[in-house]
Amino acid sequence: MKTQKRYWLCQILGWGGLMALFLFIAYKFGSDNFFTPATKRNLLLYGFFTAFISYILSTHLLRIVLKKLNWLSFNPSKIFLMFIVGVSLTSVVSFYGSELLEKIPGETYESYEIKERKEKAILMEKELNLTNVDYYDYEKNNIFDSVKYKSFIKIKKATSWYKDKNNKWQFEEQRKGKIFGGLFNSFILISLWLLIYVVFHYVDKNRNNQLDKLRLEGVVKSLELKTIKSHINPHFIFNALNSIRALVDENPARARTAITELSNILRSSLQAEKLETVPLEQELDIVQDYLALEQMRFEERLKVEMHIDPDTLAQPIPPMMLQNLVENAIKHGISKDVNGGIVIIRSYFKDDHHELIVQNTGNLQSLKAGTSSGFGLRSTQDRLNLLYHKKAHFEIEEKNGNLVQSKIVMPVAEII
Amino acid sequence: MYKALIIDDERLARNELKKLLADFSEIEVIGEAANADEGIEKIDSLIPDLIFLDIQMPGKTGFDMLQELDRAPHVIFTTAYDEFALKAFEVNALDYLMKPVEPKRLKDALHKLQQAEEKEAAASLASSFRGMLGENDQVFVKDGERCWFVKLGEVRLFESVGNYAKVFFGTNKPLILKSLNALEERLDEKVFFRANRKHIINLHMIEKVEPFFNGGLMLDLKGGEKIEVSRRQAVKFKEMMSL
Repeated sequence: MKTQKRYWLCQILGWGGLMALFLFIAYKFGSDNFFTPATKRNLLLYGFFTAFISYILSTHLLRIVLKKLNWLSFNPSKIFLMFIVGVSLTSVVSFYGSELLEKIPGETYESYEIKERKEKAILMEKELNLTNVDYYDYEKNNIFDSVKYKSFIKIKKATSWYKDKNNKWQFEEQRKGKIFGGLFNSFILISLWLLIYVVFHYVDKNRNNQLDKLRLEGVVKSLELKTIKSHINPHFIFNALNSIRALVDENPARARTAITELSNILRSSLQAEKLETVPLEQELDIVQDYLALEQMRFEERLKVEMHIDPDTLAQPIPPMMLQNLVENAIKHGISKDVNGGIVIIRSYFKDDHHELIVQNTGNLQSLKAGTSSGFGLRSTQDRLNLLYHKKAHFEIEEKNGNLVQSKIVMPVAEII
Repeated sequence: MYKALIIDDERLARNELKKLLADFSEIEVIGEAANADEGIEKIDSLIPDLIFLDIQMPGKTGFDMLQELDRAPHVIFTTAYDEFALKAFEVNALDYLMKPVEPKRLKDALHKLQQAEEKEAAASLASSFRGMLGENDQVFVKDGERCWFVKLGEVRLFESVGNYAKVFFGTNKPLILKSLNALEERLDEKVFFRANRKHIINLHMIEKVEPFFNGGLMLDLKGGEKIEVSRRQAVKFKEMMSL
């Protein structure tokens, strides 16, 4: 609907503006007798009006046909053909359409002008006291050097008479030249129109493609968010399975609990996609299972501390978010150091906010070196933005040179 | 009988692998290490024929460790899941095992190793004097994401770049963290020749020898490199070649 409106506006302003420009040029630089007398002026204006209507209708017709042909899918050679054929046909239609419309009232600017010139010629002949007959005689007798004859010729030429095949004087209506000129004008103008039309559509198509691309990127991003939610590092899963296999002989009881712990983590990672938030308590269960499995792998190298305010246990948090932070803490903090280290988890209220903190030994330098973690950190902030509309934030910083702290600050939720 | 060393930071993972290897009588596990530094120490003292090497380890990765070795033993990588490492493997067809290890895959890997070993033994028995690095010794080279085990016999040229050396083999020329002087000391002088201050060349890779200014020589290598031999070294070179 909007494009339709814009199209018609462009048509009217474009063609109208062009006609106005021609009129202005005729008025400013043409001779006065374009506009006098009033009848002639009115006919001129009417002529321009019919051209205006005819151009709009013929180009509109061209547009309908092109749309039917679905020209946007054409290859370059087909577009070239379309240009030649389309412009030729349309200029013929617009030229004759305009002529037809012009003739409706009976008299046209052209016929008026012919009449005017004829009258002028006759008047001049009378004033100079010349009659046609004499001069036919002159020509018959090949007497061309008389002064009278020469002025006769001058008048005839100046008022557009010519001799036809039978050597008879005719008033020149300039039919052939006029048709050719008119068609040529039409051809140029319609070429311009089609050029603008095609270029506009190409630009538009390009922009639409870009918009589509952007839209697609948005979709991909939201999908990424979804997958990061449920993302459990495959490295962790296979290492855990390997440890469990070793434990089957060494410590069957521990192997059995380890299988339970791993199942819990896998199950909750599958469920995380469906839920927007889970109570902290539920998330902590998963984190504890996860840490237990990692302790099975790292043994004395991994130490864990938890400082959880029991009042915060019911607070809703995005599922797997804390889990991802703990996973990062182990990946970048513990697994990089020969002597291992400690992971500390804190949850408490502060100034109307619920703060969740994960600390691990290590430094940020080693974290920045790995580029893959950047995605995890960004998506943590993205998820918080999506859920809490900028009321929550996430930060990561180095403390005392040997501790990396990631902190999530969320608004406190009312628990009924 | 192969002497094998297991290098993995997880005790349980080492135990599991030992248990699997117990079924193979041709493998004797002579030791284990929990990180790269310990690994280097054990390799130097125990001189294993084969190492099972985890890639993700605290401190240094398995790749880092291999780069520090003068001579890389046969290596079978073990990893749980590591896209980055897997890519390196696929490109260069190094042998690797995924944890938890499938017994059949382990058997295949050991079989492949045996074949490689036999081929090597047939190729040359002579170069097995210990200490010097001969043509059949391999070094581990890593350049960004790509890594190779390169037989020294395939190396045309070592070029000094500060504290590093550029290793020319095939169409590759990655850097290794070793000075040219340190390399010269370790390389078998029957094969590798110090042509000038900046270059050590493989004598088997020379295509053409031409006289050069001041009594020096110009050598064309098979890879198209042109190396100048300094006057002093040219005398030595002629001596060696006339034998």
